[in-house]
Amino acid sequence: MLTYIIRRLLMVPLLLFGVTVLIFAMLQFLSPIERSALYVRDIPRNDKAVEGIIKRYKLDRPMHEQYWFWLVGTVDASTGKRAGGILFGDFGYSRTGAEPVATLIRNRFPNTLDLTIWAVAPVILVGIWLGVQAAVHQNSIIDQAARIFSIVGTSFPTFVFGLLMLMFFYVKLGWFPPGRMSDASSIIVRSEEFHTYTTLLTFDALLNGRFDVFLDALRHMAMPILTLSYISWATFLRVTRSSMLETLRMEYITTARAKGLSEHDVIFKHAQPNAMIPVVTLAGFSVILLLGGVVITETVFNYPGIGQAAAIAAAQLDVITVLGFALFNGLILIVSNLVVDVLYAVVDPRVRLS
Amino acid sequence: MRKMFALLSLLVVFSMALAACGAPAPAAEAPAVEAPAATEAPVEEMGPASQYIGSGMLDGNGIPSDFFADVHIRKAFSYAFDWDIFIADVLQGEAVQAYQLPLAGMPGYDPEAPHYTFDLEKSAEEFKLADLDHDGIPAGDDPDGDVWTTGFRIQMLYNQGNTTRQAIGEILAANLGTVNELFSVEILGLPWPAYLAGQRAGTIPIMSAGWQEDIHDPHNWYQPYTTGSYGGRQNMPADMKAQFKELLDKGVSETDPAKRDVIYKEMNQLYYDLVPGAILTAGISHAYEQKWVEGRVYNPIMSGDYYYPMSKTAEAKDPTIFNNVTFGDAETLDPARVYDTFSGEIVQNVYETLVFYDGGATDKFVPMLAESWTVSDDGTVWTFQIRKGVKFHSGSEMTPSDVAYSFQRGILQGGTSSPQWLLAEPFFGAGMDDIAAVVDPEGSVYDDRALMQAFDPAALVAACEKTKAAIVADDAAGTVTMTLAGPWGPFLPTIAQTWGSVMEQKWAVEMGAWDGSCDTWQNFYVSEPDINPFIVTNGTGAFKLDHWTKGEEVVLVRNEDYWREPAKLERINIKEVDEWGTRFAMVQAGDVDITDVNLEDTPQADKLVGEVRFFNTEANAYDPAVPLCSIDETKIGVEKFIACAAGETGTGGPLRLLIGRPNILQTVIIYNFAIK
Repeated sequence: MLTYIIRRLLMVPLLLFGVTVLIFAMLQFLSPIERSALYVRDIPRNDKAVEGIIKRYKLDRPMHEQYWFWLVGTVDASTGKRAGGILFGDFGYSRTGAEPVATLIRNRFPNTLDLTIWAVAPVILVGIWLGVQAAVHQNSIIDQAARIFSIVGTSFPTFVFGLLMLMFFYVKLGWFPPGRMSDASSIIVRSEEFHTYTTLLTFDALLNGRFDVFLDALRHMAMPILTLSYISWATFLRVTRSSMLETLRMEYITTARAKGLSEHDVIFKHAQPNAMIPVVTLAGFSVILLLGGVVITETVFNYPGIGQAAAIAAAQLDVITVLGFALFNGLILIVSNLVVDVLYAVVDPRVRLS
Repeated sequence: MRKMFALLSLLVVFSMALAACGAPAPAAEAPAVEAPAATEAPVEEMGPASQYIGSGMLDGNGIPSDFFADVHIRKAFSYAFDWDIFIADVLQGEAVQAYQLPLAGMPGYDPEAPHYTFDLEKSAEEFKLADLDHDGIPAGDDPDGDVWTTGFRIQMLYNQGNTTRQAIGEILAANLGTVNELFSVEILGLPWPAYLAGQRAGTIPIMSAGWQEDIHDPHNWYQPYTTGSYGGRQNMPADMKAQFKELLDKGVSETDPAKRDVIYKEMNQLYYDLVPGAILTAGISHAYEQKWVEGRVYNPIMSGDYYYPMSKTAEAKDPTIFNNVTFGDAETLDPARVYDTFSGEIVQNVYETLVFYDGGATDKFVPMLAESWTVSDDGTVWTFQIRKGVKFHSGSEMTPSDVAYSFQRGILQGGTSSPQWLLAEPFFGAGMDDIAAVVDPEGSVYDDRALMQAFDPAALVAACEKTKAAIVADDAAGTVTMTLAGPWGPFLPTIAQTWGSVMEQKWAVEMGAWDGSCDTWQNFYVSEPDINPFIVTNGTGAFKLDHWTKGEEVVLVRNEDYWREPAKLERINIKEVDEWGTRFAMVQAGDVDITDVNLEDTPQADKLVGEVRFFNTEANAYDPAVPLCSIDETKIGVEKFIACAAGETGTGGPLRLLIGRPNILQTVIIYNFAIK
């Protein structure tokens, strides 16, 4: 097991490197002027500015020189400071984020991670519970309602649902505002007494003993989590339901019932654990999707995560930023896949022993 | 494991092969970009490379590359644009036809200026007068055939997603087809990199070019469209450029507004006669604020909002906290580099300039950090008496040396992506658009710090000395003396903008900026935000920067030690919410005091309007607010809004609408005289 994990982890940098080389190669098909277009949003007011960009980013140098600069960056003669170089962790400057790409990801990812952590329980656990209930009470009112609920949920566009939530919970009721935190919390968080331990707002608030900031953060996350939940429950419900139904038909369930076990034990000790395997796959994918930044939800609720940043970058053709996000998402994907694989071994003893 | 390595090495090899195939493209591009410099006059034997002119010949299937060099063709195209349909359908009535480039409130503005109108008969007449086969016989009478009998085919380009540019092309195309069915204009959308490359290579025959003014002055309009960037893009012939340049230099070096008015009116006539471009429209404002907002200065040339005079009435939720919710983000906070509205708004409120606008007036200036100023008789020497007792946010007192340092630093930092060309020209002469031109008149060091650092040290020191000699501080006398290359009409409008902000020298040096020595200035040449993120501020303004969380918000707090009465507002939250639906929800919830609304979303926001302030063109100011009674959807533009008659109560909506002021953005269709 350990060697398996280590081998998989060693692949990560190599795979990512290969992807970056491929994208770099594809960009070389464009002429220097066309590549300079990636650094400006509209035709510059001064025509000389395009030449300036080409010079600054060395877009007209031979390909191998450009590749070398891209890898190790350039050193300013007067200050000795190095600029650029992905080997030194500089993934370039984000035009849309107004800061280096690495900094942008570092600032935005904790917000998305915070949202994911608090969304996991409602999305996955409630979704699974709903599916189990639907399966156990098959063909009853509960089941019918659950299936209708799941159809509506899958077909409802996130965007529309999000705006409806905004109208109802924010404009009408004033319960859950959009954004990350209120002005008052912002002042507290920025003050000197507030120490950052984990960069995750909710946990830092708890660690600093500021329950008001904690509740405020949760309040702002309520709508995104509700929106994500509603869309995901539909899928979780159906997969869990069908998996449970299949498991409940197994012979060992009949045996368990025959042995006289309580219905509760039959369902939750014997049926559900065995039904969880396809659900683990789905849960893994859900977490990966959440970690990658749910673009539409973050945009509608103005939640400053990496999804929103990536969407803005893509809309404004900020290729450098998009490339940085692609690499980061790739990293998340590979690591998360590895975690899911390990989870299989944990959940299913058959995988462990084989 | 071995398989993974094999896959990876295959991937790398494949990428290298791809790149090697792509590599010849840069080499091929270089001669094409240099060719425009070599070719002077438009000659059809050159065999143009442009793929947007069809066959490249006058055979009905294309156009020759000197198509637009014929003034009658340019006139014919200009008569074929339907302003009414464009304004009504595409801009929803929120624009006016611009008769000339100067705007209201500046010399040269003339409501009676000669202008083109939508007249297909005149268009046909002009086509018949054209002589594209250069045989001396106008096309209408030419027995061998000319453009009127052969027709033409041309492609008009826009960058994908820009529906306004697309619509302009379609209107032109439809009307030209009506004039003569042999005239065919195709509208083609290009991806952004291809559009930029085509524009730089001079292959685009005709395109729409908008300009937003940097300063409220006719020079800032005519310069780009004649001798500057757009004139270059059009490959304007040298003799035509010379004609414009003569008037341009005359106008900019004249300081008497009445005399400038005469010169720019001449320029209007010249632009009308030569018609290098068809002037389209100037947009009008359509701005909202909550009814409890007071004191908002609506000056279109300011960068965004100026918060000092603003306040909120007591009915507002938090009367001292102001929420401005908008889209976009700042780029940098270096006053010498800021050249966009968002960053400009922050600099405008945190820093101050020597002079500033008198409220909403675009042509009147009041003392700010300069108490008074005098100009020498020949107009070249400006002496500013610097105000005493003004403190920076750091606590230090502002001195004339700080003023001089700020201007010198900006000019020496230069960079073609920055607004410093607006200061380089008055100090070094028209046409000198960067310190690089002073260092090397051959223009080899533009935008290249490494090349600048490697240049002849004597020339570097000389350029710095020249700059310092032009801007001299006398701390004892409390003055700063600026010596221009020649009299400069728009000097006050130029230094009233954000690039004229005053920074504290000591603080800037502590932050790592230029130390003021002529031996080191080249190490700071062209400080782009990616290598020099300047995100700290220290100005004299009524507000201090509390924090800038990129992509989220910018918060300003009141400066309690301001040299005037402190502002009424305590805190300004500029929140960045790109999504209109979310912004609208925030407006409805009352969490927003002002916001920016795109034209297509205004019908939604209009439903919340309770009061309107109409713009009065004679007074050049907004009328007082009147309650809004109804919106007439059958009308467009300003007429849509029906104010209440006496005694009627209005809709009671929470927003106040300000509508009708021509803004500082105009669009012009420019013709390419020599299509490559």
